[in-house]
Amino acid sequence: MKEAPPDLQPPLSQLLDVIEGRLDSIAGTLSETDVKTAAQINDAISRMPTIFRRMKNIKNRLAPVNRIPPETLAHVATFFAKERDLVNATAVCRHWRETLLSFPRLWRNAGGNSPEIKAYIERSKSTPLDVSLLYPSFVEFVIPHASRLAGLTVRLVKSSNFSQIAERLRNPLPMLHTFRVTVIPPHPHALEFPPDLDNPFLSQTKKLELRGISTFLGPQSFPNVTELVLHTIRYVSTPMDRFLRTFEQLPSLERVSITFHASLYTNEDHRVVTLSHVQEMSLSVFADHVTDAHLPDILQYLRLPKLTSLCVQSLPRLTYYRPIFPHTTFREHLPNLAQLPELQVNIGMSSDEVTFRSPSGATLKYLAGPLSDYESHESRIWRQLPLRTVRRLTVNMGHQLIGSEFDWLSRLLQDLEFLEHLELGGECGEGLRWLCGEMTQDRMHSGVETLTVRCGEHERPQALKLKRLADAAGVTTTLICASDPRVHEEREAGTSRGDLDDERDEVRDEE
Amino acid sequence: MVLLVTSDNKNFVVDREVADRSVFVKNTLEARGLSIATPPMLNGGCFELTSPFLQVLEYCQHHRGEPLPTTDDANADENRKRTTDIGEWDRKFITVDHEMLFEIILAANYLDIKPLLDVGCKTIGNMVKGKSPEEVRKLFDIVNDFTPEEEAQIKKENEWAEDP
Repeated sequence: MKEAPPDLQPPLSQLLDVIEGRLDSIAGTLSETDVKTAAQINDAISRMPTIFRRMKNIKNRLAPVNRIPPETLAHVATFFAKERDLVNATAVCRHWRETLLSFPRLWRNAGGNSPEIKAYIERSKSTPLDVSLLYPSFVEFVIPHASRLAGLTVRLVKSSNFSQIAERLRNPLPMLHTFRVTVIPPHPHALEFPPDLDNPFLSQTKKLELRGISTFLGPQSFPNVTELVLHTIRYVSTPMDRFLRTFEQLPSLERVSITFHASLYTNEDHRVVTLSHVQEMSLSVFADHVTDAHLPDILQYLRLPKLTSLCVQSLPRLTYYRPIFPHTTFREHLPNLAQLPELQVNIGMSSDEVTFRSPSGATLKYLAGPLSDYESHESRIWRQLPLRTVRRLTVNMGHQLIGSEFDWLSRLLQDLEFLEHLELGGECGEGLRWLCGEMTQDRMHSGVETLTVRCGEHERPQALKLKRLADAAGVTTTLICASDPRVHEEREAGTSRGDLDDERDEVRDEE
Repeated sequence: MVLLVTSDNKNFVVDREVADRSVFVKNTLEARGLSIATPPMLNGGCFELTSPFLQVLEYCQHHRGEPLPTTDDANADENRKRTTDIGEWDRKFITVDHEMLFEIILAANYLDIKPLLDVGCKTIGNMVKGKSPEEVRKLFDIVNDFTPEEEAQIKKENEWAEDP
């Protein structure tokens, strides 16, 4: 226990009683000419605000929230959703204000109107700045701090907006890491032509983020760019491989993230696009019943010899009309993703997620709406995935699971011919019943060696039933029942040993 | 298996994989080559560990085997706008009273369990979201200890952040 502070001698309440008694006494003997008493009262009144403030200050220091250390309070502030929350937090109390203003990095993201951008720049002191220019004229505030500019966002209504900024930033910015362009409104025809980004001040840029620009970069070259983010490319008017070919102008490119609408145009020349250094790629594709008919197979023309991480988010319409990997041979096109022995499925959640992994860190992630229709459109996708290399499957179940998703899981289990380890967790009450059914009907591959089930206390009976079935099938089973509050209470009130792993022993005992 | 002894002398036997969620415990064990870790004093006084420690163990148990954040992740965090999303299980886990929430944050900070610290800090961040200074004071039992002059100065400084 913390050592208790020494008792206040005399207690504050006693002192206040003395003051009140003295005031009563003064009031009873008051004369209009008592100058000395008037001076005492004036002195006391002038000291009161300071005494009040000090008492409030001590009260605040005792508030439970202020037990967390200043650096942790600053860490909390990094999660504020809006800049206004940060500003409001500086007006809560003296401790919060002093703490938040003493961490300049909290103020490094400067934007908004002109007083705001100036205040942030000042409060950020000498930390690297990331500035968002609401209007091109705001570039004036940045120029004196150009040497510490690490990120710059410009919003363009027309191409000449960019020229205004570029004219004032003529020299290379030594620390500039990230440059973002957002076209307002994000429409392809909003700009009369794409901005000329081939500018000395951008020469050091490592990361380019372009939002709302219909075409990519044209003939410009960015030798240092390692990361490219293209967001809301509203319509790709050229065939897909030509669009992707523009990426070859980024010889150091390692990470790519694209969100785009699919093209109407078919591809005729089928030229292969090789992106030699790309290690991570994220694709979010919109398609509809028109573009579906002509949508080139995105990965068909791509050669990504160093790719170790691929994340595909095909929006629901795409999964109905067109699979994403129809002609992709993983071994040939994506050699690093051909052997992925670990598979994690998050299912029954608002957005389902399928992730293949290898021990070396290679990742293939598929984000979708509900994964329920394995048989029809999904099956075409799944046949292309490296299912035969999976040895370990982890299924995390959400509370939105429906019957067809269990069918999906059953088919998945059948396709994982070489599965050795299966783990089930999450809100798995229904999942346990489903897996019991799979066991009973002998639908699990005989190669499965181990089964791990993580469940809540109330699911224990069903878990024990599953364990009996698994044992009978020769599968080594581990049950991990997460503690619920009741278990905690029992522990705290009872034994001194608070071992969570006791639960496994308990399960064995019940057996 | 690893024996963890709290400063109030409670013993917890857990899998190494669970204990290793704490960078502090992991480093302590690796440095000493031992299987017993005793969290020492915190902030000059003994930390009443048992209650938040049970919660922390539950968190570590649930997230065992997941990849630990690397230094690169931490650097990336500095450079990007952070997400305030909290996973479903974590959200249920962290739905506790204020006292316990702060205890868990202190424990996560001390034991160096960054994902748990983030969950706790995000929770406070979400509580503060959209609230005026007065509402935040009320929420956390804080009083306004600025002088009227300071308050006027702060209001003037922050004018640009007022609602249009």
